[in-house]
Amino acid sequence: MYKCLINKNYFIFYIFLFLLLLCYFSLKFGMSNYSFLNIYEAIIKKNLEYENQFIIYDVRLPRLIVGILCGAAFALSGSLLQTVFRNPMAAPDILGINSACSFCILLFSIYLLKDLNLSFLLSSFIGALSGFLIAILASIENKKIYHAKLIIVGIAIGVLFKSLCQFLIMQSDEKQSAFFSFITGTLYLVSWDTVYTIFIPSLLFIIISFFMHKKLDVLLLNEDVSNSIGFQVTKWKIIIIFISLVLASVAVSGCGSLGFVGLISPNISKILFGSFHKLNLIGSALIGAVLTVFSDFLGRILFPPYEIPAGLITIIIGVPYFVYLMKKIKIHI
Amino acid sequence: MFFYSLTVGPLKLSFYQVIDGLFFSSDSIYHRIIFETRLPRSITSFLTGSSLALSGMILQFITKNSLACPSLLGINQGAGFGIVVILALFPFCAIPIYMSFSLLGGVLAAFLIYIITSSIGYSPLRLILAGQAINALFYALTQAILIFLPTRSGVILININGSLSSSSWELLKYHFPVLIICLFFIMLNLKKIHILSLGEQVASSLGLNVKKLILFFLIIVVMMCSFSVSMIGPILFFPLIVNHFSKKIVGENPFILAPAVIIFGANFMLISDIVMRVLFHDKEVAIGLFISILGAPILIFSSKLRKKIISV
Repeated sequence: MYKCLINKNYFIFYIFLFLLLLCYFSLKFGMSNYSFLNIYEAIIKKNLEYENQFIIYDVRLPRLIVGILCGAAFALSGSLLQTVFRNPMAAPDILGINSACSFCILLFSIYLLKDLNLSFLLSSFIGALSGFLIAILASIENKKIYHAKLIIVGIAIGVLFKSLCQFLIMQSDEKQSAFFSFITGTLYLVSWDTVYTIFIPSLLFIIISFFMHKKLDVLLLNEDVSNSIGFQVTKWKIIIIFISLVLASVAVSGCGSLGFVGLISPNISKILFGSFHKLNLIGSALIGAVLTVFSDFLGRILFPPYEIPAGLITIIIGVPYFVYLMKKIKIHI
Repeated sequence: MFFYSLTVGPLKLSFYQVIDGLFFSSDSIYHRIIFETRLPRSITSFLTGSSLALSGMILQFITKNSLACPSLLGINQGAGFGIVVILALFPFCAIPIYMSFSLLGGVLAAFLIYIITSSIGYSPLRLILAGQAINALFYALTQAILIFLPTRSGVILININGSLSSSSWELLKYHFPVLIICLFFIMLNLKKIHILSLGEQVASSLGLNVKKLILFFLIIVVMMCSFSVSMIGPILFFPLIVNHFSKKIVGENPFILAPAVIIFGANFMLISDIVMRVLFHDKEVAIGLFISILGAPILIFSSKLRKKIISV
């Protein structure tokens, strides 16, 4: 037992090391490559005179930070939702929350500001809340939520909001491509402003969700059992869903809706770390961050003059895993 | 509806003018407008509406799943991907090549669906989830290709969202015969579809080769979908909406349902085209958006009605 625990701790350490390595690579490579010394000077010494320091400090570093935070936030949001619904398929993008968020952000930025401004945490959260409420209300039947139906309804809502987004994009002729890459999810539009807006809320809620691990363990129990030990199931379910919605909406306002990150990373982490949430949550946040940074990095270096949005890469990675997941899960569907 | 769609446009015409332009005066401006732009558009929407709807119906009968629909299974998106590939490689290719690439994309998607469902086991929800995965995959690939063509992406964007604006006699010349033959063929074979929907045992005891027959119908479905897509782009949810309503109205007997689906599909496509043209008369808004905004609630409702099927 003890050995097993140590092994799992090591796993987290390995993933963390891998993330650090990935950060270094993503700062180093790109359209132009830099040495370690350059990166050191740009970030630690803030020696910003040269052109290359500008690229490292003002372009690549904020992308990296937002990528790590948003990936972790998506993954945690997926973990929380999966535990609450006891359904390994639940994730913010499958339930249509992501596209509802991006619809609200687009609506606000097109009609109120006439510019793509991603600092609308509030509008994004309104979107998340409304998407989630529609999904829940449509899938409730006899005061019960059917897992299968929740997923179908989520897919329908996702398609609905996605086409509403495209409708809005077609209405706004200028900046079409920027809007368009926003709904597929990209880190291209990130600047220090984005970091300033999402840094505090995302870090705060990531830490809060780490503190929820005992509650989440109890939620995995049978409902009668947890009621009998004096645990208010409904109250905690609502609180946890609220946290996961906030996480998803912060992440969407940071980098658009990255498909499948919220679905894959909790599942991988469950395989690696078991279903106890203390390690599981940290692992899933780290895996989400790795996945996001890796897809962004890949999209940048694959075809140098062009840039493939990270969201497309996560979809291409995610679909085979999704199919594998369906094969593995025999229950409920 | 057909005649009404001829009167609507940037220049509104009366019924009299339409009839006059269509049949009598051959050199007036009405004649030019109707004959060059509106008539092919109306015929296209009529044709694609009915064939998409009918292919949805066949899929629903074969899979015995009232949520099956070529767009939810990714066939439409696959055909759209084929089109984008060929447009990226050769912007000005001949129409038969264009059609065959769209067919190739559709076949690829159908093949993927077949592999996935046969490896994970069949159930209505699994089928749809697999279809969604394939949809997402082809969507991502299509977008990735579009990134490399920044100059033409606007046109292709409208195209892949489903639009009737590109319809012309040139396209119709090749698609019309194929689609009409497919439609007639299915109308002649309705009895076999009916038997298939009763279950494999009944069908094989009546002397039908079930596997061959299903494969055969699937090929026709994929053909009809891909050719419709190569004319108007992948339209989501359309077959689902049409089948849902026609089943409510005329019941589930395929002999009555098929003509109803065809007529309803054609009408619905014409109506949505007219609505989009009237609402946004100064620019071209993709009709696919309108239909998917309409279709999502219907998907939710039909999953609500078919609780028994889904919750198994």
